[in-house]
Amino acid sequence: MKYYLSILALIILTSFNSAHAQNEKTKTITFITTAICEECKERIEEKLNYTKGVIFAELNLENKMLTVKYKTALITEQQIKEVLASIGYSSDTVVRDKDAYLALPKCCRGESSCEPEK
Amino acid sequence: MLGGVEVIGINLGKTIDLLDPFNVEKIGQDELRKAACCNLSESFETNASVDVNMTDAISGAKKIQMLGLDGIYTQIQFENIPMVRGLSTSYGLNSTPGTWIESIQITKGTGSVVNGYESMAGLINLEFKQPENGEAFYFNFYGNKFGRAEFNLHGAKKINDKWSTMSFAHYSGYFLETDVNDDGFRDFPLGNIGALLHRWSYQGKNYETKFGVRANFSDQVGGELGFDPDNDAGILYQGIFKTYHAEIFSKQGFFLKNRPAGSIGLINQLEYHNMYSQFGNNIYNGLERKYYFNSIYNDIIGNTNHNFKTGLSFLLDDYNQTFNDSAFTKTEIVPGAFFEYTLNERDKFILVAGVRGDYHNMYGELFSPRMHAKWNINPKNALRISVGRGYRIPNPFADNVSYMASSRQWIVSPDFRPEDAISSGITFTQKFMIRDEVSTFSVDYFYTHFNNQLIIDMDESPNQLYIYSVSARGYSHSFQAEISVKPAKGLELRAAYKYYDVRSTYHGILHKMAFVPVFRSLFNAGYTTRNKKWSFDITGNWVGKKRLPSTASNPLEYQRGIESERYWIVNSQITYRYKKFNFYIGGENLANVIQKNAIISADDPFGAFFDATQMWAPITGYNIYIGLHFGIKQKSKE
Repeated sequence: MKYYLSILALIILTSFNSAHAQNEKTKTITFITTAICEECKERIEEKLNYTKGVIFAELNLENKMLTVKYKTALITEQQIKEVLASIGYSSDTVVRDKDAYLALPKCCRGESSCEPEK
Repeated sequence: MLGGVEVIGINLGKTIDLLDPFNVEKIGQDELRKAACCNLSESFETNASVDVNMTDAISGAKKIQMLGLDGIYTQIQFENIPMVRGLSTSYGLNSTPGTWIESIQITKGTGSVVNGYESMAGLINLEFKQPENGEAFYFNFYGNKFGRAEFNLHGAKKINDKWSTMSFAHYSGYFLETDVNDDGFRDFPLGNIGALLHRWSYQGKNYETKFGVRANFSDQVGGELGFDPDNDAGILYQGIFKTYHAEIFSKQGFFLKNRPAGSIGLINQLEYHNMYSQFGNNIYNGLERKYYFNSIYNDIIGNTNHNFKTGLSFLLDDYNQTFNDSAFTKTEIVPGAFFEYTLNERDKFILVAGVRGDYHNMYGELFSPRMHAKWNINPKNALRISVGRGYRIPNPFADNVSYMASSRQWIVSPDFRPEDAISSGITFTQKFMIRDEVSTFSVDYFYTHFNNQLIIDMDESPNQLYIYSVSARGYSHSFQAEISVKPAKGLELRAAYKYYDVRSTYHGILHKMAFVPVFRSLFNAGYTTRNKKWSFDITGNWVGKKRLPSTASNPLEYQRGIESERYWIVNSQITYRYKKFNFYIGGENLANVIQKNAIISADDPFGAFFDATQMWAPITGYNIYIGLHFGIKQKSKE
């Protein structure tokens, strides 16, 4: 009986463990960015959605918060923020690449209205 | 903004704006790509307001219906310029490539008087892609199991901050002879369709203009299998379809310096349309030359709560037509004037009252008053009512070309009159939130009453087709309820239910309209993954019983039922996006519905009972297609 109980305990523990490991395989993070407009949203989402390891990236334009779900074995939070910086956007911890920022369209630098021209 | 219809945003799915006094459904890029194939007639497959039907078993052409009424009662235009009308009514939808279209706006019932007296059942306005923001380069390929291949290519270029230009090219062809229903006839004609559009845009401070040229041709041969035009003419039944269309168009907008809210818009269009249609021994040839002009002066009265549009229009429309050994020529000259007043109470209540008068050189005065009103009872809903009178000058041959696919003898009354109808409707739209996403419920009821109608009488005899005007009771009741919800991120579900009661009186009997189902419903589910790489879409269209014209006096083997069967059309598509590429694979009519013996007397196509116009379901069975879009956006300099 004791033997069975310990087996059971082992099974429960392992499954717990693997469930825990499963959780660690993917991670969802949300952080603030310097995105401004629809054009920024498109640029950021397209870049990150096609970055290896990213499951999805979604920018909320109302509060400029970016949500990224990713595979921890393939990419880290730091690397994601560096990819973002490389296309001209800062996040809470990584500062944007200056040249990439200057190459953005005017509206993404807040210098002109983002409304589509009529 | 030229013309008055404004396109809001890009990349929209299907939306109904709560602000607009007209009940306008907008179909954007996302929605258009849900059913990737191919031309304008196929752009409405996920839309409940517009029904699409095949016209006959020879030409493969498709026609639309709104409010249960034939597409001829719907005014179809691009950027407020007339498009599918006159002789292009029959095949105009089929020669407008879907990938050129940026968005489509659908209005049920009568439209604004600014656009003319024609819209009776509805108004469809489409916007082609614009030089200012269209793709710098775009390529599309589509191929299906019936041997249809399509290519689309377009590109826009900004020349400087004022000028931009865009070019479009389209080619499609059917290369394989298919006969799924095994009746000895090609299910689709073989041949080629090509189209070109080249347009320019200038946007200055006080002046803007858009102008361009648009041309298309089609050259298709249908009919009995194995037809060789050199050897088999007169022995095998053939359908030959040729159209040549060319037009130049321009729109100009002037903003007045001393009147900040005042503007003048001018529209000019010069068109040439030549078509040849042969169905066995029936040969129709039509040539139309048209000049159209419209001018719109837009200003406010006192403050922006009171707005008006007024202007003059002019139409010169010259037709030369022959049907078998008869010739018909006419020249229509129609000057017109209109005035439309808009009362806007803080956008909550908007009333549009319009009136127009036209003088037609053949039919005299055409007077069309129209009224549209919208009221937001609360910010999340809109109640709209509309009532208005519309007219249409029929072209009995061109409007009904597809009915030539039979041995019926055509008996067209020479003294037909303009069709004249009063259409009224009430629409209620309610938006509500589910998990931060906007869902929509809408319900509408439209009643169209014909003061005068051109009857296509297939009931008097299965060997004759009578066309004549009647002013006896004729109407359409149309009811539609539609719900669209987004229950989870990326998932959209839509369901619509429709009821039509369309009847006309002729020979003293109130006939139910043939080929119009009383009940229809549409279900659509679309899911896009959160990284937007995959989209899945499925649409089910349920079509109820339709009345069929009487064939009771035919010999027994050439008789058909008095009603069609109910059936489901199921379409589905999967799209995969990789950066600038979209790959798609889809299926149409996946339940494989086939109308059996669609052609009456297919074994004797030159006999007295031959009739390929009794179509009520697909004749081709299921279809599988693949394709891709490749697009590079213009670099935004702003």
